[in-house]
Amino acid sequence: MTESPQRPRPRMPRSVRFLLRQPTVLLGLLLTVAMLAIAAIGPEIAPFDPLQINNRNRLQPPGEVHRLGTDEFGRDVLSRLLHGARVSALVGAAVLLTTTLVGTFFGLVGGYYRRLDGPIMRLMDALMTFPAIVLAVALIAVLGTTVANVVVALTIVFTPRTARVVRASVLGIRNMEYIEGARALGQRDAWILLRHVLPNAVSPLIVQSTFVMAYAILSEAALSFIGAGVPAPNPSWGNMLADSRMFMYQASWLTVYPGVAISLFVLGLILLGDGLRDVFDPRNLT
Amino acid sequence: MLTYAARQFLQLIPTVLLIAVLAFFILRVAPGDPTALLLPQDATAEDIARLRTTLGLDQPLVVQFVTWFGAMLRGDLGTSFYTRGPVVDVIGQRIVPTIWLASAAQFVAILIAIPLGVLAALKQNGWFDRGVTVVALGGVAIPNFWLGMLLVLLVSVELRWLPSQGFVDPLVDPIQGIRRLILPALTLGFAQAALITRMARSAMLDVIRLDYIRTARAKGLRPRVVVLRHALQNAMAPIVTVIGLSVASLLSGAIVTELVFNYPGLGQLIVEAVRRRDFPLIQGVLVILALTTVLVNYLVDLSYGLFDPRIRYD
Repeated sequence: MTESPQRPRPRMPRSVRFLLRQPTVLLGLLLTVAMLAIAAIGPEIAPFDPLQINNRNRLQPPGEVHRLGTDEFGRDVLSRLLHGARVSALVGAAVLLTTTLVGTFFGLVGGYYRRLDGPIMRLMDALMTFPAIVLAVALIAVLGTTVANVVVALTIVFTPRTARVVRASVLGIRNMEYIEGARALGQRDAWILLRHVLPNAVSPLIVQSTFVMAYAILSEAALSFIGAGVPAPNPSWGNMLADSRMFMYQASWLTVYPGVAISLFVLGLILLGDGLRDVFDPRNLT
Repeated sequence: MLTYAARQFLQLIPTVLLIAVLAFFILRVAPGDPTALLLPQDATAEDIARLRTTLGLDQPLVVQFVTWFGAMLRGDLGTSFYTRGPVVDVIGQRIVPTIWLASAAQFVAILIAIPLGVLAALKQNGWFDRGVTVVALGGVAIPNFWLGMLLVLLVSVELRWLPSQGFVDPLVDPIQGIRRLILPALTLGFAQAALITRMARSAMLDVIRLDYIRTARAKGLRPRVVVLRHALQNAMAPIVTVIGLSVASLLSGAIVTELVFNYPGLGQLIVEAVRRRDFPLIQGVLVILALTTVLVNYLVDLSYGLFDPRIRYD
C-alpha cells in the first residue's frame, strides 16, 4: 500500500488563532457583529412605527405588547431603539471612513515631506486642544443640525489623532533603503506612498479606526443629548436619553435601555480594538 | 529651570495663534447671518445694515480677525451678541463652577485610579487585575451623561442621599457646596479614572520588570518601599502625561455632565450660545478652553523634573 501523501491541512494564520484564544476579543467581536446586524435589519424587524404617536398609550411600562415600554408620546421604545441603532452605526461607520481617509492623507504627507510636517502637525495639535464635544457643537452650530453635519464635525474632531498614528508609522520607515530604492528607480511619490509606505501603517490604522468608530458613536450620542445631533423626531439613542430626562422619575425604562445600547456597542468596539492591538504587537506572536 | 520654563513658554505662541485663527474662522466661513436672530422678523434692510456696522460684521474677515485678536491679547474677548455685555464677564461668571467640577472629578479620578492601577500591575493577570481592566473598559464605554442620570435616579431619587441639581460655591457654603459637587464629580471622574487606571497599570508594568527593582527587592527592602519609592515614582512621568493630555476630554465631559445636573457652568453657557448663534461667546469659550488645555500641558511638561531626578533644566 502506498500512502497517499498527506497535504498539510490549511492552517489559520497565527494572528487569527491568537485572536480567537482571547475571550475578551471574542466578546468584543460578538458584540460588534450583533450590533451591526441589529443596525442592518433592526428597522425591518421593529414591531411598530418608531414615529407613531399614540397619546392614549403614553409612558406604558414594559409589557406584553410594548416589550420595552412606550415614551411620553406613546411611541414604542423597542422600535425606536432598533431604528436608533442604524443611526448610530451609520454615523460611526461614516466617521470611521472619512476620518481614516483624511487622517491617512495628512499623516502620509506630513510624515513623508519634511517641509510640510511642521505646519500640518501644528494644525493637528491646535485642533486637539479644543475639547472634542465643544468643537463639534460649535461646528454644528455653524453648519446646521443634520446627521451629515454631525459626521463632518466629528471627522474634523477625530482626524488629528489618526493623522498622528499614520505619521508615526511613516517616520519609522521614511529613510529605509527600500524606499530610497523606489525613489532611485524614479517611481512617483504618490505611488511610493500608497504602495510602499501605507502598508506599514495599516495595522495601527485598523486599531485606531476601531477606536474612532467607538468614540464617534459616543460623541453622536452626546451631541444628540445636547440637542446638536440627530434632529427630532427621528430616534437616536442620544436624543432618546435627552427626552427621557423629563420623565425619568416616573418612567425609568426610558433612561435605562438607550444607555445600555450605547454602552454595549461601544464596549464591543473597544474590546475589539484592544484585542487587535495585541494581535498586531509582534511581541505577542512568539 | 526658569530659562527652560521661559523657552517652553515662548514655544506656545504659534499654538495660541493657531487656536485663535481656528476659533475665529471656523465660525465665520459658514453661511448664516447672526443678525437675523438678533433683530425682529420685520427688521428693514437698513436696520440690518446698521447692526452689521455696529457689530463690525461689514469689515473684511481679515480685518475682523486682527481687531478681535488684538483685543484678545488685551484680555477683551469681544461683546456678546445676546447679552450685549463683555464676553469675558459672562465666561468669568460661568467658569468657576466648571473649574470646581473638573478639579473635583480629576481629584476623585487620581485618588481612585493610581492605587487601582498599581495594585492591578502588581497582581498582573490575577482576578483583581482582570476585574480592574473590565471596570476600566466600562468607564470608557459608558456615556458619562447616562451614568450621571443613573446616579441621579439611584442616589437622589431612590435613596434621597444627595441633591441632584445646581451649584453652590463650596467656599461660600462648604457643606451644601460639596454635597452638590459629589454626584457630578463622580460622574465625570469615572471615565477619567478609567483612563488613568489603564495608564498607571501599564506604566507600573514597564517599571517593575527592570533590574533596579529586582535589586531593591533582593537587598531586602520592604515591598511597600520598593513599590512606592522605587517603582511608582518612576512610573509617574507617563501617568502625569496622560493626566495632562486628558484635560481636553475632561472638559468635554464636563460640558455634557453639567447639562445632566443643571449645573450653571460653561457647558450650559455654550449650549445657550449655540442656540442664539452668539458667535463672540462661542469663540470666547472655545479659546478659553483650548488655552486651559495648553496651559495645563505646559505645567505638566515642567513637572517632569519633580518625578525624575535625571531631568535637569539648564
